[in-house]
Amino acid sequence: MYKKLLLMLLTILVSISFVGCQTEVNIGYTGVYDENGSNTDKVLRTVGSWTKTGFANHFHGGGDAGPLIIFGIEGLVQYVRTTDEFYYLLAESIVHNDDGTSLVTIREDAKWFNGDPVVAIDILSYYILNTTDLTRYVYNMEVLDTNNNGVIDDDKELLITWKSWREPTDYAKTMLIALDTKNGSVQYKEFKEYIDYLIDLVDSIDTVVTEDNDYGETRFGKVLGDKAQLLYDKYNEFRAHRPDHYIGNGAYMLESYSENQMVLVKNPYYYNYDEVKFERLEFQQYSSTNQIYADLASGNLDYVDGLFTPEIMESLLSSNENLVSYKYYDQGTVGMYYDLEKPIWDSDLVREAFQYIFDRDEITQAGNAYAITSWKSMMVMSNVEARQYLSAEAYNQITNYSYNQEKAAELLIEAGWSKTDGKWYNEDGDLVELNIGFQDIFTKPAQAVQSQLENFGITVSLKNGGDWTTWFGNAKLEDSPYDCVVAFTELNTYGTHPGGSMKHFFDTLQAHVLHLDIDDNGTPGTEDDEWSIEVDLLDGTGSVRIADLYRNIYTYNDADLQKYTSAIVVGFSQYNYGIQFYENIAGSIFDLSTVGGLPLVDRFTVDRNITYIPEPLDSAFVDVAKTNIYFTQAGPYIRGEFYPRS
Amino acid sequence: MMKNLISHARNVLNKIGIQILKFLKLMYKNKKSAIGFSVILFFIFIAVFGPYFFNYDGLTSGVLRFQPPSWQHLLGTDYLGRDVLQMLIDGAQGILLIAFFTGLITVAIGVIIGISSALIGGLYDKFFQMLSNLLLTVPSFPILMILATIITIRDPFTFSIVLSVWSWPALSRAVRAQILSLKESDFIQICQVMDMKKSHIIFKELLPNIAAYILINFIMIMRGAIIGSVGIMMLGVAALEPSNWGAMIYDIMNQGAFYVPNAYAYVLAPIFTIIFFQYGIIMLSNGLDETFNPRLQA
Amino acid sequence: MKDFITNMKGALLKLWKYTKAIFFKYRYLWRRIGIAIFTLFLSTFLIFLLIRLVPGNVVDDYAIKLVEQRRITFDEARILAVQILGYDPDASPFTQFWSYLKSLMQGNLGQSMSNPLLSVNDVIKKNLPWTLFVSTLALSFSYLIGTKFGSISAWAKKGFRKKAIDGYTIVGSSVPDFILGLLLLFLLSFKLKLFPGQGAYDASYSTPGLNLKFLIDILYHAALPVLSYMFIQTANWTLMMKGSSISILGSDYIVAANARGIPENIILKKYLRKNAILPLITSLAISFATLFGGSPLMESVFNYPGIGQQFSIFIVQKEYFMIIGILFFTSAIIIFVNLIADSIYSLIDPRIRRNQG
Repeated sequence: MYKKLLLMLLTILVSISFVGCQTEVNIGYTGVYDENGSNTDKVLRTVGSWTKTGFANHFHGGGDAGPLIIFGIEGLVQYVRTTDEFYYLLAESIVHNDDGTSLVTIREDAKWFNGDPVVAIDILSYYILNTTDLTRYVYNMEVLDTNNNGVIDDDKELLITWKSWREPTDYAKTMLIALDTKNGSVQYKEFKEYIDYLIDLVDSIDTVVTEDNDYGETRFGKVLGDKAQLLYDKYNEFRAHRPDHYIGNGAYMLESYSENQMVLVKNPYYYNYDEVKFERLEFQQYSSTNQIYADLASGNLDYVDGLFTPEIMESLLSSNENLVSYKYYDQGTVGMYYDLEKPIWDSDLVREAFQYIFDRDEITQAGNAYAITSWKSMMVMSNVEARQYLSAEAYNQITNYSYNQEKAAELLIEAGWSKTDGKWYNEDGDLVELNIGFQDIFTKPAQAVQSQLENFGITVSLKNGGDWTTWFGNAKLEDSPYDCVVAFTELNTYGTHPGGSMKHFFDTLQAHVLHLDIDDNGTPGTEDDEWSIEVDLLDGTGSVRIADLYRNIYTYNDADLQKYTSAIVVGFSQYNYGIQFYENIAGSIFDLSTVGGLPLVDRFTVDRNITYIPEPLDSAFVDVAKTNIYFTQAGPYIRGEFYPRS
Repeated sequence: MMKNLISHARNVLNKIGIQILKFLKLMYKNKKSAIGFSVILFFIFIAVFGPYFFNYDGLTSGVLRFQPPSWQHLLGTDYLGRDVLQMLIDGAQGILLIAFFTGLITVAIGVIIGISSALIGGLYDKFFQMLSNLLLTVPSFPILMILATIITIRDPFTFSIVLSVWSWPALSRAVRAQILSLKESDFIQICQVMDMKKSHIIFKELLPNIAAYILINFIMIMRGAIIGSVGIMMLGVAALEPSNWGAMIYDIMNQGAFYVPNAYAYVLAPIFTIIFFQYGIIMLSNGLDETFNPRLQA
Repeated sequence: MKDFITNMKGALLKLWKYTKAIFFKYRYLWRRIGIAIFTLFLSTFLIFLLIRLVPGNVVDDYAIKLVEQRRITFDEARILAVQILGYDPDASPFTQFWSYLKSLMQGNLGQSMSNPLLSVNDVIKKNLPWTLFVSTLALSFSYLIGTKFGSISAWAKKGFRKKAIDGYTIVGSSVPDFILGLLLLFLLSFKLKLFPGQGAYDASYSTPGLNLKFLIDILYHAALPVLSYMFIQTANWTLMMKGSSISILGSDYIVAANARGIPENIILKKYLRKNAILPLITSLAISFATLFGGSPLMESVFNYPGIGQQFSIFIVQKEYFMIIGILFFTSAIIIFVNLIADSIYSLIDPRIRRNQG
């Protein structure tokens, strides 16, 4: 009786809430898109993510400062991978000399957050503390006493000497410097005690690196040997150092932050102060996408990096008439690949059979309805990049598979598998059960994969691997809990150079998860443990080890680069170590009433759900891709291309 | 000979029938337990026969994403185009099995330890007292989360074991206390004086006296197991079984279903299914409580 | 001088008497504290053993990062990682536990392995207040309302109030609190837009500190989690209070009071409620533990920056010492609250003390 009353009350609540929904058709932007708008406070409100428990006051101190790193710390030069352009940030110029050296000159007006000038020794400090891709190619680095006052801590010129036996091309030299996006994160003045110690330590060593002896090198042409421990100890002291304010030099500095909110304000010392148009950036950390949608719809967010399910997108765009959605290639492909240590993947036939099992169109629909289905196998670099860096002939050589479960069954039976009562048994007569670990952002395609495999007769246990570090931590374990994973099969987060994808593939991620080092116990990519996958050169002149090609990837000229890249990509795809499902498409959503300077005006006046996806070589590609805050590392904001409509 | 067998079988069947009738009578004696028992019967029916009505294949479909309720899809479809009603029915079996096994395992452990420590006493008793004290001081849900990352949860049975590990101490303590007070009661004293067998005392005298209590506890543990399993699934710690009710809620929270205008049925269906099922369990246990302990009736 | 000495003597004697009294009169208390501490350490060790079973470890994760950063072999990187993190996954659990105990003695409840900046103490300082805020609010409201409801339900024979309360307790005890939270979030926050959907406060609206605006803001943000907890907890308290009241209803003094013609509401307030509430004090600790343990769920529903949400993050990150530290602290609180509840109860009701002494 009264519980009925309660239930009735709930029913009434539910029916009230139905009133709120409307099904309007999304149309184009009706307002005039110019400088004038409602954003009088000049604020950009967006989504961010940082360590909830807090972070140290410097980049290397622990914890992830998220947006503050993007907007508050600059490097010498910025490479924008989507536009293939260099923007000089802290560096005034970088000159590559014929004698194998490069001279980096730092901007006269570059300053730290406390007003101190950025000087050459700050950059040197970064490299004495960190080993990066660049340091692999560098023989020495020194600060020039340009003003001849006997000390080097106020000079602005840094001389880099490259290894004569591994000298990159001029383009690659700038690229390597640019790849260290945060080489302006250590202020010598603040960390003097640690850096002075380390400079002395390196100076005191006699062992010099040579061509045969550059493995295990630590700093600038010296092999530390047993003194390495001293360096590591000092490095830890450096990490634990606590400055009284955040060390940075970018366009925005920290005002405040909590678990869920961060506020950045314009840095008064910034060299490009006048160009920066937004006064404040407000970031919100969300745990539920539901909340992001709600805030977008009610106009509480100006920019969100993301692409949503079409139904949600339509509903968003119709409930807030100022929103626009852009879409662009992600330089990544989503698929499934294997832990090669698991015996099930030993058979070439099984791996080939798996290429035919999936209705990849349906997986694409589940994963990202705007993406483009791919019928290829795993191939080191995303399709969109392969089209760019491979010869057309080579690209066409990559096999396109199809959805053909009969063919898959045939291949499996040939491999010794059998099917009884709708379940597959392997050559030893054991029931086939797969543990699939997926990175949490791929819940959707993983569920589609699971349902298709189970209907095909393979039992699947789906494991949510959490965010990428956790997922990766489990996936790369020697005795990994996953037999295969649903994740990016290829991704490039580094630069528009084949070396970027390969670095991600062989060094950062996929090779570890694949357990490519099946014969050895080490980690792939390190020089003492040569992984031995071979590929054929496409001109028929023999075969090469991928490891050898990759190691020197930045030293090849254009023709060789295309030749070797083609060999690696085509050759690797033939191993069927993984399945591609779709070429990922990413997106940005903006509030047109608050943010000015956005591209494709003629398109969003017609339809705010822009479905035009330019290929990388189209001119519009650059415009659309720069809407992504991570691709451009804040570029359009610090150069004033995007501005508040006030 | 044949006749004998038949009559014997008839006898046995009769006996079983009488037991079932007795059980039903017990359930329907009280209005509350009648409602509760019917709700649970309904879920059991669905879990057993549901899969015969629908051929749920779990396949995703881009075309059917976020469909509102219709005759083809009575509760609409989810964010991957699967039928929500079919998922709920498909998930019912797993949930019921988890609840049942957990109840069984926990009660078994709890009762065995409870009775034995009350009867054996001494160091044995001290040890288990200490152990249950220990387990009671650490909140169980966080431990469940840790266990779920250690043990690969694939089937309802493993899940139940994980859920049982930390949930027996409260029951075993209560059973121990009851047995201790029973031990002092006259009729047990008499049994001991009469030099009856220990097994007789335990199974014929002690157990029947706490049977009602155990039954009610069994039901409440089932309730706890459902909350625990849904919670674990909701945090995404265990292996993902898309049609598990907790996993459905996990997806609702993480795939933006709150925001889709058509998805009311999709969002509310698993929530109310869980509430309805829990409601049935509570009604049943309350009703039985009233039947067995009439003095609680105010 | 003599006076002084006698005075001193008297004072010392008095002191001795008091000390003796504290030690002997309350020796049951000391014993309990001793047992409690022992239990605490034993349970910590148990959790410690448990956590070591989680596949993978921080050291390997960190070593992979170092391999990438420094271009050294995995073996070298692993040694280095052990150095940097100060944790050796291959050491015996006893050695590890001992080193953990040592740092515990220095007041450090645990140190994050991947983030040198972070310790359990920080997390407790930062996140615990939010969890405490929500759970104490919920607990005190539901305690007050629940005990009232319970006594009414036990006292009244018929009538609207009793029916309403009984109906509510059934519904209230059947809904899991986080499921109710989800429902409220969906209806009140997303559909009707009456409440905020996440966080503890809105930094762009108010600044943390002692001001009215902030207070209103945090109450506004805590409203839905508190409501969800309350709805369920109140039902629990009602049930417990009802049980306790019924057992008292039959006692002589209530019957006598009734016979003397004392008005019903006075019997209800002065006789029944006051006496029935006593045994419930010990249940407070248990309820507190339940709220605490369930906080990962509720806090993940509302993205509330409490300790439960942080705990789930640490489990995923395999931050052993953070997990242990938080559980140690939680268990300590539970034991402490238990102890206090028991002591208060036994101080109020001497029968308990005698039975346990």
